[in-house]
Amino acid sequence: MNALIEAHNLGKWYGEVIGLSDLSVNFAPGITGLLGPNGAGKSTFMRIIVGELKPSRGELKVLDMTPFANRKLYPYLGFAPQQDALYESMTGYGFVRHLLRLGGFTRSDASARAKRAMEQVGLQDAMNRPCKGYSKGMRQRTRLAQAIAHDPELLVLDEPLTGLDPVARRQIMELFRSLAEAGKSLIVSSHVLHEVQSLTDSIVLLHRGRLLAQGTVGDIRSLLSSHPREVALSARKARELAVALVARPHVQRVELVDDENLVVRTRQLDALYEELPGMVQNLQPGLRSMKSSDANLESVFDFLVQ
Amino acid sequence: MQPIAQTFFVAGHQARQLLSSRRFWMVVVIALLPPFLAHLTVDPERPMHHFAPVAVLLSLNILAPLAGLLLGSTVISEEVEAKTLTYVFTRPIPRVSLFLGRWLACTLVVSAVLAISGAYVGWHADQFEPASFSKPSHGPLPAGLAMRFVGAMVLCGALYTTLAAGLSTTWRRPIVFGLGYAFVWEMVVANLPGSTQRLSMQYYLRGLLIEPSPDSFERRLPPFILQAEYLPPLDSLTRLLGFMVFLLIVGSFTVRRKQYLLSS
Repeated sequence: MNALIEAHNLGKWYGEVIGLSDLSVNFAPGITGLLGPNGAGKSTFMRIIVGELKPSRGELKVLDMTPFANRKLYPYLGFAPQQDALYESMTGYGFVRHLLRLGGFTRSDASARAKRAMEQVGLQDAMNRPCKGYSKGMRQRTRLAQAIAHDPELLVLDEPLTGLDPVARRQIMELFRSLAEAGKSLIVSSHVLHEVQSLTDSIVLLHRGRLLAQGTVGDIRSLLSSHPREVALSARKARELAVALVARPHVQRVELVDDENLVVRTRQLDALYEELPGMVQNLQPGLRSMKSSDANLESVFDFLVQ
Repeated sequence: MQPIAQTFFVAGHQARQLLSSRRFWMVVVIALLPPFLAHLTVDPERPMHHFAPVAVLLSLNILAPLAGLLLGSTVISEEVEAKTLTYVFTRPIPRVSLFLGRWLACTLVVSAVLAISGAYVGWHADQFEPASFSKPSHGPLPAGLAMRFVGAMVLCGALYTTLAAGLSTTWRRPIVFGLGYAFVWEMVVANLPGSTQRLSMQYYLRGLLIEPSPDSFERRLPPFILQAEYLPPLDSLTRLLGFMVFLLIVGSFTVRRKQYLLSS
């Protein structure tokens, strides 16, 4: 198997608290979004992947190696943790450079790489300032810089977009895309789902330490045949359209938002799409727009964790 | 870099960090106390009379252990507390090198500061030619005692640094356990009469200073210290070094295998 990461029946518990439970999942090369609400086990899983924690049971291979405290793995691995911690008295550049030196790079190489990494995350102007004076976004970018500075094969990024302003967020997402295009693999955890969705189609959903779903957003949607879906319609005669829709057997509910907007909840989206053109032709309700509000990852996620 | 080079790299970095830390200045203040007291309380007629309590009771029993514990407790637990351990533990460097490098830096810094402190106390007491030799406690310092005192200070600092470093691989607040050990356990055990004193590090540290000859330093020490039979200095030194190596082995083993939970 060509998976970057292979987990089999992985379990991790802290006393009586379950961090991960019977998790079997593979990660393919490219960008993968690791999603789940707070407490889902994303950070625990990432810490096991980077070898900071040992699984309580099961097996994990990262780049075909057992990760715990495995220094042979670390040249190929970059990790940006979630916790907001840096060496406060050092400059951002000094921090990244020091970690590169720890990784075995020569002084000149470490200096050049640290400078380049700080530029990549857009911190070149502030890189010689002490970390203790950095804003939350700058600290986040410094954490990313130390993760990418040694040019690893696999980047494990725990909530990497937290604390970034919209401009920086876009810049960092561009960086992620360019790293992926350069052949790097990224695992990006988040609970801000639209960010991950715009970054990748490949997702792993965790909930309460268990694997909830894995695949593309489309794959997961196709699994949800019984999932009631909602379609928002905007029409001049919304009330008449609502009356017609509510008579259909597959329609569960019609909510009239106002005189011109309604939301239809159906068990068979395909049937609704087939019937709607005929209804529009007959009723002439002045349909202006139609939008499936739950076609995005957010709704899939909400449904799955219910 | 090879593991040994990595150890020295970590040590160099850690030493630089330590020198700008608050804890270092606390250690400096602690180390300044014996010279200050020696200067303040010395009686030129009876230098030994003051050297003994300042050297043994204050420096070796209290201040050097405290200095060692203060810096040694930073070795691993400081990074755990600051939640920066992740960065160093996900680099291609053995965890043992990180532990030993940081321990080495702390030990060197503590040893240097305590050596200067001890050297001043010893040198200061050695300056005076007493007028009267009528009582044992009025005599000059025995030959070589000042040097042995400096050695004992350095070793004491290194030992307690190592103890705290070992504790820091397991507990988040090693200083609490270290202080408990140094000032509850050792204070009691090291000062009980009889062979129970052998269960303390202080017993062996005193053994570095006390020679079993009738005119030596031992005759000027407080009686409770003299209620034990001391090993020859070389034997004491061997046992102390052995204990230090044992602590380092336990610390290295722990740091290699332990999972450190850094809650976010």
